Amino acid sequence: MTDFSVTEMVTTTRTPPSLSVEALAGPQSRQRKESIIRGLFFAAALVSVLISVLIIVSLVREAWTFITQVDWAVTWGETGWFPRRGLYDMPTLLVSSIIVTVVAMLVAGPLGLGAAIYLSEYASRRVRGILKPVLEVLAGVPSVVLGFFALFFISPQVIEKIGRSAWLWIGYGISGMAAVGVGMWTLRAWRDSDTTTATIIKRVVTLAVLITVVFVLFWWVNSVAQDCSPVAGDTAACPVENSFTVKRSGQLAAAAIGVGILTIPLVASVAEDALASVPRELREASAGLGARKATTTRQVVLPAAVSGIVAAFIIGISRALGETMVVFMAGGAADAAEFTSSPFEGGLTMTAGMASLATGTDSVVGEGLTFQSLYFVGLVLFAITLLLNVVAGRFVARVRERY
Amino acid sequence: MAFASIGDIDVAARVEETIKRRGADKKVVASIWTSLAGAGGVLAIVAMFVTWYSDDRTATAWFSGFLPPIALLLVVSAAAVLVAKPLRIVGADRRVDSDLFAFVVIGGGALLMMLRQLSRGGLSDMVYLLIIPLVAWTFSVVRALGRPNRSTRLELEQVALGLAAIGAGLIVVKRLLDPEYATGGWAWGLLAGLAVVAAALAACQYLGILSIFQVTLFVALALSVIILVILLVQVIGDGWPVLSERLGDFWSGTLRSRSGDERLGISQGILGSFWIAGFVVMIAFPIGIAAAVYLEEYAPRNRFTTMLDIIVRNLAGVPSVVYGLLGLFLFVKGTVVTHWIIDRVNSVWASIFDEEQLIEVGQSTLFAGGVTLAILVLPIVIITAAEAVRAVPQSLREGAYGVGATKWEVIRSQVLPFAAPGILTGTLLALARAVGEAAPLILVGAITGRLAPRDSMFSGVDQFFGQFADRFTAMPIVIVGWVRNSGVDSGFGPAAGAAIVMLLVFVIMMNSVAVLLRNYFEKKRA
Repeated sequence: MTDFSVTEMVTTTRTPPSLSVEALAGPQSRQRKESIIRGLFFAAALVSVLISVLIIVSLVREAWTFITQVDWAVTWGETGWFPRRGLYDMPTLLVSSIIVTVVAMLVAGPLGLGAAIYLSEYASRRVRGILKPVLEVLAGVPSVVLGFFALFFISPQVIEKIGRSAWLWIGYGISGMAAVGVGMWTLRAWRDSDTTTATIIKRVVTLAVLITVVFVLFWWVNSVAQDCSPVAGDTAACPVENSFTVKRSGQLAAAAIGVGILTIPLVASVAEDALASVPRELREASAGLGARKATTTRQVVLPAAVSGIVAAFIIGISRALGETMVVFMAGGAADAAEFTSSPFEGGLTMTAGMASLATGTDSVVGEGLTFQSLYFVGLVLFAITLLLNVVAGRFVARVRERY
Repeated sequence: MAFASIGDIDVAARVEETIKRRGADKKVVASIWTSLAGAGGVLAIVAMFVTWYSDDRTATAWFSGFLPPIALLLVVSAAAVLVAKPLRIVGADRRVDSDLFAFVVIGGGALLMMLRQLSRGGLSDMVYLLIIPLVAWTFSVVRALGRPNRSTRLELEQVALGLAAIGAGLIVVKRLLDPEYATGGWAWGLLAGLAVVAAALAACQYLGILSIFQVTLFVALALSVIILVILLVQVIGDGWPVLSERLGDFWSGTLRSRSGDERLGISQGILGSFWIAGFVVMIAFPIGIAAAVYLEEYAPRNRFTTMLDIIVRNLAGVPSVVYGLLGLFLFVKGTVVTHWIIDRVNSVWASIFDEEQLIEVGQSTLFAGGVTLAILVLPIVIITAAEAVRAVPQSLREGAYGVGATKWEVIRSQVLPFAAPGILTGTLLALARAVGEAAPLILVGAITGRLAPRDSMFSGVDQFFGQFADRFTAMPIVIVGWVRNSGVDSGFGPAAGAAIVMLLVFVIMMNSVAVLLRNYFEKKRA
């Protein structure tokens, strides 16, 4: 089998014709073809550069006209966004954008991160095999669908029902949590074997104080609410003109929840990538020290992946800021908006403001600078999201470097 | 197992016996607890939906004034105990004390509620609520008086929780049977809430999830799924009148100004989306895949390549509405360059056909919309295709080089075929994204209102190309328009729902195919 020795092979083969580098390169036409193809591919790659340049040129050019010609007094004064009347009030759009982004992240942050941790740390193969694709399907749902859902479900069934007494629910939530805290504390103390008279008296006093605090909290919330409370009476009896009143046909909060739902899969997938990049050894070492799974996750895996998780949140914020259709459809404002700082009223975010300016008309019409105002808002939005994305990119890169 | 015998006691047998007994104990507990709480929880969830959809004012008007805070405090702390116990947050020692505490608390809370209700004169409905404290008290007294036999002991608090769930369930059933029947908002809500928690815990125990941390995480994930289900149910429910009654007409109809119009439908939207998808396939796919191949195979590792990479990544993060601005700037408003290009196209057009011009600057055309969306998805195509190309094993390339292939031959014969499933997945996702995207089209000026139907779509070459130079609409735009109109003419709501179902069928199908394809190949190659 191994009878062939090297020397035998050398002696039996004829000496090959001497090969030059040119001969190896093959015919000229082959090389030309290669370089043409390479050039084509390079050109294709350059297209993205071209697009970037075009985006920046288009934004800056039109925005520059706006910046140089607009009367700056109309852009800053909480007067409302009425582009067709020449009122380009940026705070109106910015505050709404912030409200939507914050509420959206309140939805997407915990849910996305929770889903990511569960999928990466706990889920069995079977559960993962079912739930991961579902999350991916959710990622693929078009934003107009979420807009429809936000307008026809979230707004009437969720926001309008709790929105009438939103502050009450917040109050009840806080006092409820305080009550749970008191309960837990009592139990902990109960369990404690240290039972000298002094400590018992101390505990009783503390408990009494805590209960009083919670009680006062409840009592206060209740008395503030009066007839409008879901506990004390009829929510429908709430006066129409109060801060709990919800605007029909959509509110910022409903749109924001819709945006949040859209953002969940994005946050989840980026955070899951970050968690997956944490090396196994860390988990094993932690388990080897006797830590429970939950302890390992909370105190080893999460801190190790923290930059990736931060990146996930930042990317989520950027996505929520840039989301257009949901707010446009369910945000509760047509093509102009009063200044509002309440999530339970209608408003226009930067994106929705742009979209509403462009609907229903052949070209953007209105007062002189309306068209340019579109690009000014676009430039602001572009700058913010670009900044966020770059920062998020840094965080992601940091995770990659470390492991 | 290697246990030594100590004296007369057979340790191994003891241990085995204990394990068996505890196992059986746990099993009994789990089955009782799961079935009780599960049944109650399901009923409670059903009831929550029922109350959700009904505007029951009396339900919230049950309590007032001084009492609810105390009752709530008591019951909430009891709930805290009940939740804490099976999760071993509260220690296993001194359990009798904490049981007693829990049951006194929950019983006291319920008794206070009852007294309050009594003073208002409506006792009969409270019978159901009475069950819980009575049972709980009985149990706790039994427990406190003498330690029952450990092997037959049930996890009492779990049983009580299950009973609470059943009590809530009974109230719900009664409510379902008798619409006039109104329960107390808070009491019912708390019991229902408890039942839901109980059901969730039961489910968790069944699934082997036992820490509260894990439960929270699972709930986060499950909520996403539940939201998706609610969304689908809502959309299909809203669109059902149209889908069930006039699907055929709806399919072939056009945009109309009144929702009652017989000829209202989505044919124009489908056609527009179809052509937009065509533009994406024709423009974004070749360029995107070529760019990905360049980045992965050809690009030297230098600063320019790094910059290209960063540009592509950042382009993927640019909000879609900004692409709309780009499209508006390039095609609708028109720049010097676009004017020049359009003039050339028009002159060629005029030399072939007799018509004056094909494309008009300042017009929102299908061409403008299609190209804008192609630009929008280009970075997505590049990124996913680059990932697929990166995953091709180096040995394949080296093998091909070894037999004398040139770079392009290696790419064509080895890299692209191997990366094809990954690339296909990415392109499908991109296509689904393009078809569902509305914001850029709105900016470019797709039509949301009435659009004159074209009579002859394929009657000639000029007609065929002519439609790219015409005003257009697309599925998501149709939906947006109808949703906006539904404020004035509510009949547009169901139409929008039906259109969404059509869009979703297509988009979800594409996404699922993409995901399944990827999973299949991942599994195959792993």
